[in-house]
Amino acid sequence: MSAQPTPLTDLIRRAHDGETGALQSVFELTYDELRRLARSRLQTVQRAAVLDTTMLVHECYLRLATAKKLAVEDRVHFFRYVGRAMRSIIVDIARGALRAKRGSGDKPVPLSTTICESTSAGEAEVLRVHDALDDLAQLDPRLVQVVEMRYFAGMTEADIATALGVTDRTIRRDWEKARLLLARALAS
Amino acid sequence: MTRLELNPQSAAALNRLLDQALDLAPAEREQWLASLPAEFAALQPRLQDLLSRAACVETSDFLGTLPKF
Repeated sequence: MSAQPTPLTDLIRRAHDGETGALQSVFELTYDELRRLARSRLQTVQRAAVLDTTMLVHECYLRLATAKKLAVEDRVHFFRYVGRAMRSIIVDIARGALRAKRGSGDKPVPLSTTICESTSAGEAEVLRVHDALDDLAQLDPRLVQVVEMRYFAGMTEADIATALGVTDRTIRRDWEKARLLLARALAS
Repeated sequence: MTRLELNPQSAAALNRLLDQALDLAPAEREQWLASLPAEFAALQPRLQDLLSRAACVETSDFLGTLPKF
């Protein structure tokens, strides 16, 4: 097995260092796999246990590794990136679903907004969490990363801790704080 | 949606105080809030509101999984 970084690995590292063009390239290279992952998460019928959802992330990573787009050694780099990417994809899916429900183009907008709203609770929750994350960044940018990895990507606390280089306990505390702040933001 | 609307100094203080409060047992938090120094008086109502949500967030598994759509 080669330890030579793949182009995608190199791009993920550069994206992590803040290079905007690199992030866009990584996004394009992984988009199909990540969108499949997002769809799996959003459409699972039973309330998915954390174990099930984190398996999806691992499977996604393995598919990219098998396709030689990512070196097996770079699991941690992929995990750092996947939360941010999954947030973007899931927010896009939620916006698209809302547009479809509300109608577009020639399709008439439903007259009963009550029905529309009552069937759009999931999409609305995703979009409100997305908006509220700007506020969490004021307290600590890591809170945003934890929400992206935990809520949007479905990663375990252990995987998040590994990706961010902190302890499991730190991640549990971050998740606890983030949920309190989001509960307040979403309550009104 | 309730916005945070805090300056950087207040945000850092809120983050630090929230850590302190969450290190305590739930039953001890009320007294801790009441004994906060005067310099944190402006943050006290917000801390109280956040801490009052702790039990509900935990028992309801708030944001524990993505909604399905």
